[in-house]
Amino acid sequence: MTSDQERKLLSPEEKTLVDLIAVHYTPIPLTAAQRVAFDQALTERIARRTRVFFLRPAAAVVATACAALLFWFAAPYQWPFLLDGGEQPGTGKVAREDMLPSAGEATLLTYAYDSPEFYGDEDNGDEESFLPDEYEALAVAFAIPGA
Amino acid sequence: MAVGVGVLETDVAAAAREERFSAFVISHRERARRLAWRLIGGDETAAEDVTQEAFVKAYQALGRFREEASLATWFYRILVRQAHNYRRWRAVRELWSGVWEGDPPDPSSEGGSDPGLRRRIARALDRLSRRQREAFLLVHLEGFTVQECAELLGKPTGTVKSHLHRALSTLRQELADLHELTGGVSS
Repeated sequence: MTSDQERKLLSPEEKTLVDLIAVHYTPIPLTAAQRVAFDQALTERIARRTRVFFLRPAAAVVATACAALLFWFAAPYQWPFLLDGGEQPGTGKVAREDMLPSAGEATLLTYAYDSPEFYGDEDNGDEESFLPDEYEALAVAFAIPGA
Repeated sequence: MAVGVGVLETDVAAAAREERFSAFVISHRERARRLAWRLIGGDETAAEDVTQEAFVKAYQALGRFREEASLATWFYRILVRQAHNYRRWRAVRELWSGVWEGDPPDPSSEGGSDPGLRRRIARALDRLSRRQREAFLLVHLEGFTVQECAELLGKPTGTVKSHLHRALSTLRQELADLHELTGGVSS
């Protein structure tokens, strides 16, 4: 019902109207059994909500881990090249720069190409001189000509 | 045995929390359910659902409020909002299901008083704006002061008074013939 402070401000007609609504527009009070059922339902609802509350971080961790694994297995070789602009291995800008010789390496290469040892001696062109030692031993054992 | 002491303290705190919440439910259960029933428009099941949902939120927020008065204010604010959300979703559902008739749910099957009169009151309240209806029910039917109502609704007291004045004017017009329905009760 209206608090005394507010009720004083109402006209007699308004007081009657308010009282009428208050009396006729109200639910039936809960019985003792209904109160128990209400409390029980409330307890269950709180327990359910609490379980969900505690499960939420665990579910988030599991979902993140699954997503990371999926991503890892789905595209393990794609990451550097995705970052590089999506080109195939060895064709990206970074990869090409890696393949170029440094200044020191260029000097060594020049020296190697100019060196006579690079082109070999008189045995140069003899395929068997490039054979492994085991093969050469076998060739000697079986007296293969030219070994 | 620091762990044991910790567990004991936690158990004591949990028990105190449960006890406090239980006392809160007992002291506000009936009033909250009645307010929800009136805000929703006489739907017993929905009122219970809205009330319980508000109690669940109060349980979760119990640690934030030391005084019961501030918890109660917060709780009724949540309850009013829950009831409003329910009304809104009900309107959407009815619109989609094609059964919208512009009337609130029929509360004639519930309650102990005259079903026809209750239905008339429900329709009259449904014609008020949301804020007018909430202010009228909180102040004139549930006994909240204008100040408390203003805190609940998050509006200035002047605005609440204006809502109350307009609500009363509309209800007097809508229910002008109650004198005949009630057989002279309203005279």
